[in-house]
Amino acid sequence: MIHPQAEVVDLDAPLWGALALAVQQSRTRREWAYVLHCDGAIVSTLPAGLHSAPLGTSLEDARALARAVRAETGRPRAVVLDERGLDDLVVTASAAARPERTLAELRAEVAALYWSSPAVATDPPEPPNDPQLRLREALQRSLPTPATALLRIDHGTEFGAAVQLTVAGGLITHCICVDEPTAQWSSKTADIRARVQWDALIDAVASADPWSAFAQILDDASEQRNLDVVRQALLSAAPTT
Amino acid sequence: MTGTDLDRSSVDVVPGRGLRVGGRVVPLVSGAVHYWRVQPERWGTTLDAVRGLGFEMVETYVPWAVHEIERGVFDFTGQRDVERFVRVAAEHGLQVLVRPGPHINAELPDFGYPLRVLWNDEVMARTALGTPIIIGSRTHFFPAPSYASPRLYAETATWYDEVIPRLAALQWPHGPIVAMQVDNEMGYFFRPEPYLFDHHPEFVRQWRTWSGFGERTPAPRDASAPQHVSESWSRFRQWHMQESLRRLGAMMRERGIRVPLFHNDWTTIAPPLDPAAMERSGAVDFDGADMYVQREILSNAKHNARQLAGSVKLPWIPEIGAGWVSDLAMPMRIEQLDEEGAMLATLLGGVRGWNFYMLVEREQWYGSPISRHGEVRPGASLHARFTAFLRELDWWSLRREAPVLLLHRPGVVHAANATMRSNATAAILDDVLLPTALRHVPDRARCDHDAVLDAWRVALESRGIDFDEGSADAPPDLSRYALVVVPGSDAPELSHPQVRHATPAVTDLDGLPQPALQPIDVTAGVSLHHLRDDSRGLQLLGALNVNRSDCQVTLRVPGPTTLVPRWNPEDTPVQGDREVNIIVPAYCGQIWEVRG
Repeated sequence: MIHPQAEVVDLDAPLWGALALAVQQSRTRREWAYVLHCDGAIVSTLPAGLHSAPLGTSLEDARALARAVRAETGRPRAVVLDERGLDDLVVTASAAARPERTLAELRAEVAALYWSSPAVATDPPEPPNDPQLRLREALQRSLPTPATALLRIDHGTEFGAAVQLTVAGGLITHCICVDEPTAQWSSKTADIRARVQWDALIDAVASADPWSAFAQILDDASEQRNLDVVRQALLSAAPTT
Repeated sequence: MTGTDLDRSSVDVVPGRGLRVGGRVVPLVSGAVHYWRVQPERWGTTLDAVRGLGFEMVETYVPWAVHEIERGVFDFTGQRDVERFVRVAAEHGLQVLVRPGPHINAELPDFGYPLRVLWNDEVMARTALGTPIIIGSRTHFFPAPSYASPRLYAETATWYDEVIPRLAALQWPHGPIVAMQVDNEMGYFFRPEPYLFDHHPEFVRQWRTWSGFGERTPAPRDASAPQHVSESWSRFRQWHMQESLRRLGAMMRERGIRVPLFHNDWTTIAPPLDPAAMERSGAVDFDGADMYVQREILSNAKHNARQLAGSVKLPWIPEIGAGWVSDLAMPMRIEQLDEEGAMLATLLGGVRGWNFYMLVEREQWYGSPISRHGEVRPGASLHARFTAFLRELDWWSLRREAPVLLLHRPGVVHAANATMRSNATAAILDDVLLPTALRHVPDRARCDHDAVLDAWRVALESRGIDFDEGSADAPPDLSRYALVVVPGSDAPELSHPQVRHATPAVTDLDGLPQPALQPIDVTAGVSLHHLRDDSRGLQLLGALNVNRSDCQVTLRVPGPTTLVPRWNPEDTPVQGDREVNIIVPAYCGQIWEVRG
């Protein structure tokens, strides 16, 4: 979602700090369970103490354990990893690290290699999709380039903060927080605009599915312009677990 | 030259106080300003704002990758004119700390190294599988360099050839530069796990020579590797960091730097990081530790401060958070309460110097006291208050009463490191795909070691007794302490009459020098700190509360006593003949002058 040379300046400290905490909370709600084994002997688990009995060495054995661990923990996903098999994965994945690529591209390719590796078994069996990549693709399809966006965040009727974005090719190239007069002026010409409530925004970002939650508050936003495109993009980006 | 001439021309480290510059002791209280991220026409007004907050010193990185615009071609003009920036700082009455790397981080996509250097096969650090170790930085990534690579030093020499003489010409007494940092946060790029870094052929070769183990491989996958071989690898990694800094520092000296050299560790006493051992090695003249905390982990600030107080000659924080990086992948809330708590925690824990990072905001950062346009924000009043408070009390003349020293045993950590799972996977799989915690094997000896230290911390704080923490590998002057704790009955012998190896007994605590103001009942997480300057008849009481709610503490006093608030002077003084009650605010503290 972020352009490699994106300029990010003048951020509103209370807003950004609140968003940061909300991101932390969201991650906590989406934590997975893990089992690391070596030739069937359990090395460690997260949470600790999940499982200790040796498992068979076939991929189906590992998948069965993943199903059992997910059922036991109630976590959105369980991952069973074969320590020996990870070496092959490391070598293959490292070859994807080429200087012309961005971090997002590298992470996407490494994740694809990871989920298709015989050393990794997971439940649900479908690997998660990267919501940021899907969001980028959706925005790229739907928005003019470049597009400007103005998100105003209020405390009730009082101005809280405003974020002005420039989006090109589905990537944020410029992000700046502006004061109220600038926000009022920018909103007149912004391709996309929305006015939302602070608490609702933070709650959305902190939720287990921030993409869908944010789409919902945009639905409720006042002073909307061209939000359908963004809402649809967010909903299509909502991750599988 | 006469002795007086030598004093005036040199800069020396004054333990516990700061730097002696031109015969005057200058405290290390500075703020970070990145010249290349601020328009040159704003340098003056920005530095005016810095002075307005009471700072007399600024700090800046000098980024290699910004100045080398193509291979072998360097630009020091316009917004890159670091020499002009330093002169402007001098014109504004500011002294300068400089940090020319080669590693600087600075939230740059390449951490300050030219990409052509990082992507050179000869420079790349390697895992045991021969793969590069990928470091992610906001939107980019790069392979970590190996500090054993001869090519890295050769390339760094070309950078130092350009930049060091320019900075040397501006060092005291010919300019305002009073100290220089060697490299930055050296510690294997925040991945201290023992078997990730570094299997670069030269690193392994150096280990084999250092250890005498011949052709043995250091990785734990070698089933024949006994414990002492793996421990040797862990110790070598620590030694190699010191030697790398020594080598880079020598390169700086060869090019004319005479001012003190320093380094910034980034965590507590946990091998391969050990500020006391770093300083004892002589690799740099003084060492510090960076610190970014939010209120929920305020206790870390206190612990880190105490560890610096017991480890290094000038306990200071080369980077204490003033704002935070904008990357939501590294979330942290930094607000005034968080920063005030950190300032007080480090102050009361024994720190004597701070560099606020970033005092002046720039791209990829938020929450600084001064905006990138040079405007002073309302939150800057905290920093102005802090600098004024320190000067008003002449903080550096105060003696902190800490009669106990808790010594960490790095050897226990080295032994625990030996059993950690091999970490080639951490080179490319992030923490979501393969959590670090999954690879740690709980070590009983380390747990027992940590439990002894924790028990003493709790017990001492319950008695209102302050303490320092240090490293058993490089202990401070033990005669400063009434009692020394080093966990484990197999701990090395120490030359001190009162040494304890186990959790505290009541008699241990009763036998200690008791503070004049003793808590009758104190909530866990509230600590009391005592400072005094007998020459001025000044006695201070500090209290820090790491809990989420305000706490009341009842203190027994020796006679009629008044506690006059000095940090938040608008608070009401408290008085009592035999007891006083103080309220310590949540996630924060207060400092009182004790009168009576």
